[in-house]
Amino acid sequence: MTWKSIAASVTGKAHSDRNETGQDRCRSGIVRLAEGEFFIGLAADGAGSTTEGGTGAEIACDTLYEYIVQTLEKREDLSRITEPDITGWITGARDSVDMCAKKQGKLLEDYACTCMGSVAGRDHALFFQIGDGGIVINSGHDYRTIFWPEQGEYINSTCFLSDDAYREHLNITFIDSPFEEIALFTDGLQNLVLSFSQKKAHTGFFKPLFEALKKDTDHEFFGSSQQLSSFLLHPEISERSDDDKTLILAVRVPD
Amino acid sequence: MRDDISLDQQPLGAVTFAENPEPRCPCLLLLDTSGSMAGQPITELNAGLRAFYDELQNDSLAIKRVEVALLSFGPVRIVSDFNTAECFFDPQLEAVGDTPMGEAIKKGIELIQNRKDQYRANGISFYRPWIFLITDGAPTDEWQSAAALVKQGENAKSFAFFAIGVQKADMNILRHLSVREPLKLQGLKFREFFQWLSNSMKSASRSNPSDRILLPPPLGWSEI
Repeated sequence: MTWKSIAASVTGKAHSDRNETGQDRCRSGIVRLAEGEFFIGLAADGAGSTTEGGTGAEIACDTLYEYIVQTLEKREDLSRITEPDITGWITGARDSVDMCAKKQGKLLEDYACTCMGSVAGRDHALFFQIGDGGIVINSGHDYRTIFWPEQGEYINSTCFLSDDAYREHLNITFIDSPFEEIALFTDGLQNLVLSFSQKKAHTGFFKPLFEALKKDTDHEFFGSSQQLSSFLLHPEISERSDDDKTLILAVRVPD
Repeated sequence: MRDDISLDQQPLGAVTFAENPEPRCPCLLLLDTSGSMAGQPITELNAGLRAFYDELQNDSLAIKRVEVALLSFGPVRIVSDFNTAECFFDPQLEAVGDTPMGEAIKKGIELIQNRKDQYRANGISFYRPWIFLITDGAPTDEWQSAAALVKQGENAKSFAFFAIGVQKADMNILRHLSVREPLKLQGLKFREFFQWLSNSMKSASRSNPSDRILLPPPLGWSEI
């Protein structure tokens, strides 16, 4: 079995109408080691009230990716990665953002962003998240959320990597059973893909996309992130949410 | 390879979206209807309110998201509990009685609290509520405890409280009541004020991913 993934971030109408660039960033990839193959998915949403949130999100994703690859190479397997390792990645990413802020004579909070990620192998997976957005996996009989989006009292407030209390808001989970489908998404999509009254992932959104990605051997639908972007910019979606949107999808398929 | 993707194309045509209730943007108006508002002030206030509802009704997103409650004082009366602008109504306020401003503020804060509880119970997300106090006089009842509640609510970010003085309003007491600097209405420019308020509510009800209260400058109706 091998992982197959696709990822895209698009700018929402709320920003593009004002000629602003989007503040969502993502990074995904497959790492092959002697012990097997690992999917890495990372997404971050720069705070809309900041000027540099997008830069913060980019630095966070890039730094986390590097740390994760280094740790995987050192530990050789996912089962040997611990909670302190993950906290270390997050603190390292936060320090990188802080360093960039200082260089620019700005404050860390000017670079505020949420962040979430997952690393998945054959039998083990880990997940972490600060702030809103979410991660959904297919546990075999149901699509389930790993973390519910962490929101403040009001719809437009959440927690950020730059917060002093970032460790308190850092959620970490490990799973020791195999799964074949995973999606990560930022808050621009959460109202479309989660049912808030039932507190559940919306199967009608995830199922067709995972199936398309699994069957898409000739890359007709998901040959490039460009195509996923077009999907995310479709009027059916932008009418429902004018915020920036990120979607990362990964499936395990036979070699 | 295709560059474009359409939801009409199988298998993506099968994608459906979760149906969640619209997030709500609550706004409470505390309106002074004491005897001194009789005549032109109350006429202009009523006209301004009608225009306010009209504006919100003509905005496809605001009509579903903005919820307005009206509470008039003297005496303290809930003219309309929180409702979206779909439920249009013409309040036809009359000016009688004294100015129990303290009681009105306390009752208003209670209304907000109840509404938030209802939102939470029904899984509805919401924005920070706004309270606008509009008065042409000074409280005729005990107001210090209301001022303490406003301060407490502002500190806890439970709501944002704004005070607007009309004509001979006691701006000094308004300064004690409100954490934010009160504003003075130019003449009887209620229509201009409500135009500004509906614009502010319309933009607040769109995605505004910020913790701060972003109001446009109060131009065209306030004395600044």
